[in-house]
Amino acid sequence: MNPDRKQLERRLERATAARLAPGETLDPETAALREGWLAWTRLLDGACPDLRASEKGTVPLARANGFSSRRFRGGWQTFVAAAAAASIAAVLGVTGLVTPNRQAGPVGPAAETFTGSPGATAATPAASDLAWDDGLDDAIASFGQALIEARRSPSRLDGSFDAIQRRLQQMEQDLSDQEL
Amino acid sequence: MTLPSPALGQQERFAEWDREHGPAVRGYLLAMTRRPDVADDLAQDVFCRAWEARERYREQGSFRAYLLRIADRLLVDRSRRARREVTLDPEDWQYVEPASGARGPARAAAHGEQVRRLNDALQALSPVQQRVLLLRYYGQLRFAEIAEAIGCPLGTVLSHCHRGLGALRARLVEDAG
Repeated sequence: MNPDRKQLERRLERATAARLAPGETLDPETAALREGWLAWTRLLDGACPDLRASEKGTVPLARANGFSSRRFRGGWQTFVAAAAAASIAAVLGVTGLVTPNRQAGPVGPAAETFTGSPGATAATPAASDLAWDDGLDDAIASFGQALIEARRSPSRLDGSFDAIQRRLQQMEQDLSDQEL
Repeated sequence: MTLPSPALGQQERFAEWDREHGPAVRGYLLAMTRRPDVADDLAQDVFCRAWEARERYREQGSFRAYLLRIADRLLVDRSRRARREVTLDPEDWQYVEPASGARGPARAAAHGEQVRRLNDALQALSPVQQRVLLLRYYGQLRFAEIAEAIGCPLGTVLSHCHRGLGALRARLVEDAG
């Protein structure tokens, strides 16, 4: 490295050092550069006091572990959808209401999934004769609407989740009352 | 600085990185983007990338320099995508609040004035000068490390630093006086 560059590097290192040794003096040019540096770093510290170069620990661990609010939002929606689907599965599965004879509709594939054993269904003539029920269809449609609402508007998630829960409770009540 | 002890649990290890280097990385990103939300996301990406590459990392210089090099590359990528070096609305700095939270009107006004002056000072620097000076401040990197981080010869980095400091002095000291 040529001597001029080496000297410049040394000068800039002193001018921009985090701290100088007690009693250390600077030549006038280095001191002038350091003035500008100190004025600027004071502004940086003032504008972002939590991020001073000497301080520690600003990125919350939850974020550092990959749980930013942006990323978590999608996860929350997925969780709600999964929880709701599991709840429906539980309600319908426990009551054994859904049968393979249900006509194709919004829950066609789900009806296949949630049905108990085919033998058990066949042994229950009333179930196999079950006609399409508009009440249940409406309830499922409402539930779907609430779920869509939750996906569209995360900020209104709590309200949507309440709506989903209400629908589920209503469906469960209707099922136990055999209104559907 | 080296990688934290491998004997620590993974979460503790990650937290140690954060404690040691989080402020420097985020400070650098925030000063360059002036967008706290963007800086947060980029900082997260920096740590995630470093974490993913932790087995391949070989100690060369400081670990903080390594993280800031990743940060700088992410910034360059972002800037290429956005076709701009820095964005921003000066008002964005207003969102940078101290952890203590509450601040009275007088302190808010003082903070606003600091933000205005900082923006003004940053305007006096070219994008490369900003990178050099911010890496020096937040990373406390040696100039050779800065040269490696931003992919410039050492002489160029020194030159940018020298001119940048001169511009800051002119803007913040001479003009103020």
